[in-house]
Amino acid sequence: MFMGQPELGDKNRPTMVRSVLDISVGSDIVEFLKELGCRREFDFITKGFIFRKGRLKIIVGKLYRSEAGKAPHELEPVSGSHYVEMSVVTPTGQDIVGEDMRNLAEQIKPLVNLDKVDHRRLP
Amino acid sequence: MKNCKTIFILIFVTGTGNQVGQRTLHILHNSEYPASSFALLEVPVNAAASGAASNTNQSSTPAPTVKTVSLVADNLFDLLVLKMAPVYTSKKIKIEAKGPRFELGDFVVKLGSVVMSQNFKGILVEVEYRPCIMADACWDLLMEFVQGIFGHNAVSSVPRTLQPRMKEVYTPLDTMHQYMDQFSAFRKAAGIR
Repeated sequence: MFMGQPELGDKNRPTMVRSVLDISVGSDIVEFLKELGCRREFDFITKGFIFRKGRLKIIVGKLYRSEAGKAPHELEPVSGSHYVEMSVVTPTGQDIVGEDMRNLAEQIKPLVNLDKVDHRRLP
Repeated sequence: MKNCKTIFILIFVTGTGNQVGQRTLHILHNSEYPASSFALLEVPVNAAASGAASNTNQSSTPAPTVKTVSLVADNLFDLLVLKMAPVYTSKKIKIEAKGPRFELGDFVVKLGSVVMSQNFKGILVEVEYRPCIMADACWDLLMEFVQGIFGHNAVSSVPRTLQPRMKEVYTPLDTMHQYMDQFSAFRKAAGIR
C-alpha cells in the first residue's frame, strides 16, 4: 500500500487527507523496490485491535520495532502506551466523511483525544 | 476469429543521480490479462572483471550487462509509476501489438501488427499450446505447429528469456518477457535506445 504525503491546504478539514494506492503484487516486490532505487527505512509491527463503525476503521494498537532473528512475541514495544488511529478509505473529493470522523472523535473525547497530526512539526 | 488483443509498452527512464547507469522501467499490458500490469526493470550491471590481467598496464573496462527484474501487479501500479515522475521520466514511447486471435483446437494463435508511435514496424505471431504448463514438454510440438505455417522460416531456437525456465511452470510473465525482447528488437532496428 502506497501512502502519499498529506495534502496541503487542509487546514479547514477536520482530518488529514492522503492519497492511497492499494496495489496487489506478486511475491518479488521487495527486490523490485530495491532495484527501483527505494531504500528500506524501517519495519514495524502493530499488535492490537481493529474496530469498525460503518466505513470508519479504528485501530487501537501498540507499536513494536521489528528486529531480525526475533520472533514476534519476543519483540519489545516502542512505548508502553497504545495508539489510536481512525481512518477511512474513500474516493477522491468525498470530504464529507471527515465530518463523520469528527463526530465519532467527539463521542470518545474524554477517553481519547483524536486530533490531526502535522508530521512536519514532529521532532 | 476472436477478440482483438492489444499489448502495450510504455517506457520510462530514470536519471542517473548517484546510481550506476540509467535504469529503464517498462510497463506492459496484455488484453489477455486485463487486470494486470507487468513491470520489467532493466538494471545495468557491470560484469566482474576476470581475475588475471594484473601484469599488464591496460585497464579493461568490464562490459556492462543488463539485469531484468520483473513484477506482476494490478492496474493501480500505473498510478504509482506516475507518482514517481520526478525520478522516472517518461520517454513517451509506446509500442503496441494489436490484432486478431484464433483458436485451433488446443492451440491459440495471435497475430499482432506492431506499431510504434503510429509507425508500422512488423508483425508478431504468438502461438500458445494451452494444455501444457511446461515449455520443455511441448516445445517440439509447438515447433512442429509453427513449421507447418512458416516452413523453414520458423526459428527453432528457444527464446533467450525462456531458456532458463524450460522446466518450470510457464507463467504470463514469461510471455511478457518474450514480447519485451521482440519490442526491444524493433526499437533497436528503428535506432531508438
